[in-house]
Amino acid sequence: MALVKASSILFPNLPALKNLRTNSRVLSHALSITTSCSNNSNNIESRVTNKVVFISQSTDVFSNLALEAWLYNHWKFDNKRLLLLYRNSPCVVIGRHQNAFMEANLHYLESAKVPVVRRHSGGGTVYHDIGNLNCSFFTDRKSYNRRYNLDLICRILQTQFGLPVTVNSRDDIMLAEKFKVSGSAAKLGRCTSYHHCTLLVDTDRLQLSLALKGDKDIKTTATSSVPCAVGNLSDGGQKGVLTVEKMMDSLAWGFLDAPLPGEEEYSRRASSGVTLVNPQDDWFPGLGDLRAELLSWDWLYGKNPRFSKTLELPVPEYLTSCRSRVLVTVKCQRGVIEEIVVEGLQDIHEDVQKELKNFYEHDLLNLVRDTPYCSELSSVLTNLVHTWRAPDNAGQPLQL
Amino acid sequence: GRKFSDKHEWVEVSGSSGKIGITNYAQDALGDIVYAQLPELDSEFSQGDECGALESVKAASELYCPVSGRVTEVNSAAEDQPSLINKSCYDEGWLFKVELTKPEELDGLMDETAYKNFVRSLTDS
Repeated sequence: MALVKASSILFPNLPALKNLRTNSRVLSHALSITTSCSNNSNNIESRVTNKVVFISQSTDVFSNLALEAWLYNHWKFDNKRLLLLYRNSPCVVIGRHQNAFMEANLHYLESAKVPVVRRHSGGGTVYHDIGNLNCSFFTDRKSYNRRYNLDLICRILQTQFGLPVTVNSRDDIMLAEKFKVSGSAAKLGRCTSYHHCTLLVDTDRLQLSLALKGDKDIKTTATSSVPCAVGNLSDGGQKGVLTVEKMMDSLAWGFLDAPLPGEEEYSRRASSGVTLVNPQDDWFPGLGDLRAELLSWDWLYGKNPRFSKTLELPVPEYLTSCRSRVLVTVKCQRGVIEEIVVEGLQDIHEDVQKELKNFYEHDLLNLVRDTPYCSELSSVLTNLVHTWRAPDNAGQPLQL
Repeated sequence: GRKFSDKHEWVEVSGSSGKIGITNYAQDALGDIVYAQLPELDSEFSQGDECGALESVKAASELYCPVSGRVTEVNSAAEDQPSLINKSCYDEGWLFKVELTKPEELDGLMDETAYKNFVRSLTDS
C-alpha cells in the first residue's frame, strides 16, 4: 500500500490539467476547523461560489477515505464546492451500517490480499480497482444535491464520450439502461455533506463478483446491498479510447465549468482549478489518525450492527445419547460474541433440554464470550465441543 | 410540551428526563429510513454533539443531541424496525432518552409554534 508520489506515474496526461499547484500552502488558508455553520450566505449578493477540484495522488483506499473524512471535518463549504477525484488499488468498500461478513468474501479477499474497509457514508458495498474512478462532491449541507452531481456526470459522459447513460430511480447511473456503472452514497452532517459515487470504466468484473460473495446466512438489521448487473463504461462502444485518465480530465473541467443549480452559467474565473493532492499528514495534519481509525478492528468489525448466525454443532460426548447435532444461534454485538441460544428443542425431554441449554448457553458461551466473530466460527465451535471435558458430576449419560 | 432544535430534533421533558426524536419535517426530508444507529446506554453528550446516525436511501445523516445529558434508554423498537421513525416520529419512533445535565438549555429551544414558523420559513425560501 505504498503511496504513489510521482504524479506522472498515475496520471500520464497531466499536462492537460492547468492551474496545478503542488505544495500544501494552498491548503493552509482553509485549515480553520468548522465550529458552526454560517448563516449569512443569503444576504450578500457579491458572494461567488468558489470551485475546486482535487485529484488524489494516492491509490490507497484508507488514505483516500481519510482525506474525505479530513475535508468533512476541517473545511467549510459555504460558497465553496469541491470535487475530489481518486481511484484505489483493489479493495472492497462497505457502507457505514453494513455487516462486513455478509457483504464481502473475507476468506477470498484475505488470500488475495485485498483490503476491506468501512466508509463513513451510507449505502451498499462496492468493489474498487484502478479501472474505477471515484468522484466525491463536497458542499455545505444546504446545497447537497445528489441528482445535480449525477446529471453532471451523465452529461459529460454523453457529450464527450457518446455514452448512452441515464440515472435511474435508485440514483444509479445505467449504461444502455441495462448495466449499472455507478453507485452512490452520501454523508450528511450539520454543516457539510458529501456525495460520492463510483464510475466503472474498466474494472475487473470477475474479481468484483468474487470479492462480493459474502455470507448470506447472517441475520441482521444492517443496511443490505442491492445486487445489480454491472457493466463497464469502456463496453459502451469506444474500446481503447476511453480511459480513466481521460474521464478524470473531462470530469474535472466539466465540473469547474458547469452552471450551479438554477443558474445559467459559471465563470471559471471563480474557480481555483485543479490541484493534485497527497493525502498525507504533512499536507493534511491529522489525516494519519483518521487513516489509522479506518484500519482499526474497532471500526471495520466493531461497527458491525448487531447480527446473528445459526450453526449446526455436534453435541458433546456426555450428552450424545439424546441427539448427535443441534442448531444454535450465535448472537453478536460490536463484532464480538454475546450470546448463544439453542434452537429447536421442543420435542426433547425437559431434563435433556436443560442439559443442552446449560452446555451451549453457559459452558460453551463462557469459552467464547467477547471474542470476535469470524467466518470460521462453525469449525472453531465444533472443535471446542469435541475437546470438551465433561464435568465430573455428569458421569451418567442421559437417557431419553 | 415538546421543544425543538433548529436541526429538527425534538425533546419531550418529564421530570429530569428528556425523550428525544426527530421531527416530521426531518423524517420526510430523509425519506425511508433503513438503519438507526443510536447512542450507547450511559454515554454522555453535550448539546449539539454527534450521537448517532440515521441512514436513508444511501445517505447517512448524523444525529445531534439537542440537549446535554446521559443516555438512560434507547428505543430498541426503532432500532429493530427503523421504518417506525417514518411512520410515527413523535410516538413509537422516538429515539432515546437522556437524564438532562443542563436543563437550562431547554430555554434556548423552540416551542411548537416557533418551530412551525421556522419550518415555514425554510419551505418558503
